Amino acid sequence: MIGGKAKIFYLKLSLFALLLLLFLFIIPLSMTLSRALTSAGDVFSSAYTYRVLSFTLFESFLSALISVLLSLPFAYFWSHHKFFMRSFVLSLSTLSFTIPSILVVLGFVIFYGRSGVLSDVLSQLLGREVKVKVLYSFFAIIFAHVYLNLPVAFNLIANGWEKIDPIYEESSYSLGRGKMRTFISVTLPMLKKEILSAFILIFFFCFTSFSIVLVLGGSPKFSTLEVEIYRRVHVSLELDEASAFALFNFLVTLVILLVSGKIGRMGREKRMAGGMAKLEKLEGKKKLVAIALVLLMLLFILPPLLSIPYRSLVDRNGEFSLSSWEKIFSRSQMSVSIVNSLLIALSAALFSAYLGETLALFSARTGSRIVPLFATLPLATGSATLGLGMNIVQRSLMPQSLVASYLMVTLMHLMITIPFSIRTILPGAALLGEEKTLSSYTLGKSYFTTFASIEHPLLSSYRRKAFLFAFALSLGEVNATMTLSSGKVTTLPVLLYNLIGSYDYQGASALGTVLLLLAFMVFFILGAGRKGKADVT
Amino acid sequence: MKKLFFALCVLLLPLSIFAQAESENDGNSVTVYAYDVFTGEWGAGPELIPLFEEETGIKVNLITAGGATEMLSRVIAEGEGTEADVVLGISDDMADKAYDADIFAPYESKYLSEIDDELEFDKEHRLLPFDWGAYAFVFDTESGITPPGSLGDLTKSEYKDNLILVDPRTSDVGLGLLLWSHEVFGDEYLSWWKEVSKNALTIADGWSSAYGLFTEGEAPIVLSYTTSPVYHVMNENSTRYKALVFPEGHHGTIEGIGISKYAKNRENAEAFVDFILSEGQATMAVKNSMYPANGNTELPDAYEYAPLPEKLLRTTDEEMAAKDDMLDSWAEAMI
Repeated sequence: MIGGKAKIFYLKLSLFALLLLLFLFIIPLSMTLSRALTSAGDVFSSAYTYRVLSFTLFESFLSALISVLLSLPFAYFWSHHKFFMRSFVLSLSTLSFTIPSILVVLGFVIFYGRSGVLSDVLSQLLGREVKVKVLYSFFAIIFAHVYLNLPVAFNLIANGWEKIDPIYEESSYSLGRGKMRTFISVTLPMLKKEILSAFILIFFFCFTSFSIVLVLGGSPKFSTLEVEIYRRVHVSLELDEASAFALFNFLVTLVILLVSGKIGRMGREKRMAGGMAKLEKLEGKKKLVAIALVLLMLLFILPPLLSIPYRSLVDRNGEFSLSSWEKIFSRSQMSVSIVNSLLIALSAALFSAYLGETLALFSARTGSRIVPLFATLPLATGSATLGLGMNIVQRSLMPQSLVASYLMVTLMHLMITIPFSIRTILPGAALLGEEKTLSSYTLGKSYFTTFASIEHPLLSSYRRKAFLFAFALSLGEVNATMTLSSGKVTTLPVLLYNLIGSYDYQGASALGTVLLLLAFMVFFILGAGRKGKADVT
Repeated sequence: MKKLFFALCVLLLPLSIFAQAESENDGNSVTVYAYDVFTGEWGAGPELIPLFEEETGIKVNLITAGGATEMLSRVIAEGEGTEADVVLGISDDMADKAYDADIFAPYESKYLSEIDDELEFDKEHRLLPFDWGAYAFVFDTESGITPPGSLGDLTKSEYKDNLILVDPRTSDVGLGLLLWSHEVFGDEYLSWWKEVSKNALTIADGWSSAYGLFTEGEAPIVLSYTTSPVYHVMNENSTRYKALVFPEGHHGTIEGIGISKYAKNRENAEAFVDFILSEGQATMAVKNSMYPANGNTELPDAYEYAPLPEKLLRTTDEEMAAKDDMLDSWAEAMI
């Protein structure tokens, strides 16, 4: 363990992030929760609340579990082999984060719907009418949640697995243990932090999901707690009751986070820093496996995504037309909103990744359990509650001006993405570099030099993942932007919702395509910029 | 690479802010809070605001806080300190919250005489109606099924999985159907819901996803408005989608505009309200896909495809007071 002075250094390093978190999250939340006390009784005593809660817990747990399990074989292959499209597929998988939830639903319907592309193709192939029955069921909820979240588990676990020195597994084999036993008793414990991070992120993402649950579930029997909060904030305008639900949600979340923190500390850390699996070049049969896995992953990721550009070009009657593209690009707001979207997403993601790094290091080096807990709360709290709190802050602190609107939106995006950043970087901060850090201190290097020359470069691959998630999330964010910008900051998703409001789904698909292209471009540039450097982390 | 991006961000941020900054004009202005339907790029706002500014020389400061509920909740929370002179987009179904908070001052516009008395949902004229619509089921005529003739018909087994509804907990449109069912079936409304939900392919979270599913061909009947076919006639030259008129009547929703009790520019606010109730009417109706409140408005021919309901059902005061309890009962019954 590092000494007290070094701990103070990490506190100073993360001070900005800590203060920001306090300002952005804890103040608005406490303002919201303070209203809760008047009507909390009804919420806590209603059987209905507990029915909804138990469903919410169940679907979140199942979605997270399946996402993590399914990602394991892919993460294994990706972290051990070198092949064409390897990092491309990893980055591509995060694209689904950039599309607002209404387009996720639409993408699913266009492809998997009763009269969707898949039904059409199967009907053609089989020569009779086939109506695919995938959607509007409990299965569809889990399917869509796994679709959106598998990339989180895939990216986090693959990244961690790359850094496991094969020596541990080899020594287990030499003791005569089989592959399965070695995986369970040696490999899995070393991946515990990554798996837990992914599980928590996915769990809370699904915990606060409600559009997908309602539309694709097909029955109000499938309702999450967020539905009830949303109802009170956005439909019936009972803010005290909304706060009571938020308080309830908050307590449940806290319990889950505390339990998961406990699990995270169980068992010994077996991994040493600095190890690194060698990426194997593929030969013979393994090449086929690689092709099969890449195809499988693409087949999973692409159909709902590609449905969106498809619909922007081809209407429901199968007629090709560029008219929706002409329509959106004839607008002066279009270029402004592209610039806005890029600017906000880039700044939010950059800050998110760097602040997430300082928070993760602070937490890892000082053993603080509270920091990651608090940094995850914005995700677990849900957008309805957050919006409520932020509105209070905005009213009481911010003047009405364009600059304030930009600042507010960017800060809100920062807060929404920080849980992803810290959870992505935390495993790296905990496992990489503490030895090197200590030896650097022994050599008389200053704390900051050590941070800048050892820890910061060691965490680069984690930071990259954090940046990708944050960028994708921010690019597609719409609710906070609409509420906080006072209509002064127009981003692409805001335009997209305007279009849908005026019945134009094809135009909205064209805008969704622009969003995907922007994200794709940024990921591509980032990937190309990295190619020159050897990946030595 | 990231440093490059960072530099780019820092460079571009002020640029884009100045690109959008408008010259502030404090002298002769009016601040309008409006829901996003109005302010959005494809809403009535971008068309009407420049027209109003040109005609009157009054500068409009347009602010949105998202949907109508978010806007109302913001104005209520701001209280005396609000900058709003005019608030646009409060519907009769949520007006009680506005009355309770006492944030609007009455305005006897001269155009009220051109508006049907039945539409004046606030007899004190704190909120003045600017457009109205009626919830209805929209039907795909190419689906090959028989269109239902009443709310009761929708529970027939032939409509199994042919129906897309909207959840009243998360959407105004869904709430509209809840009120509609109560107006038609009285205390039996929950048994109708239990029956009809068996036929529903899904009960979507909002109108947007419901209507999107409908136009993707997932089901041939969707909860929407009587005016919905107009869009398809005007923009797609298609009469495929038809709004069904039921003899038992349709639940109506009326949208209103009001002047804040704390308005700093009362005269300009009155000018704006008058403009919306007269010249702005046709644009408002078309862009919002609603009927105009002012009877003297000339509408495009496509409105032939927006059938007027034979009977308009309106939220009674008792219903308004019981709305939240009805939602609770609905949730208890359905889940």
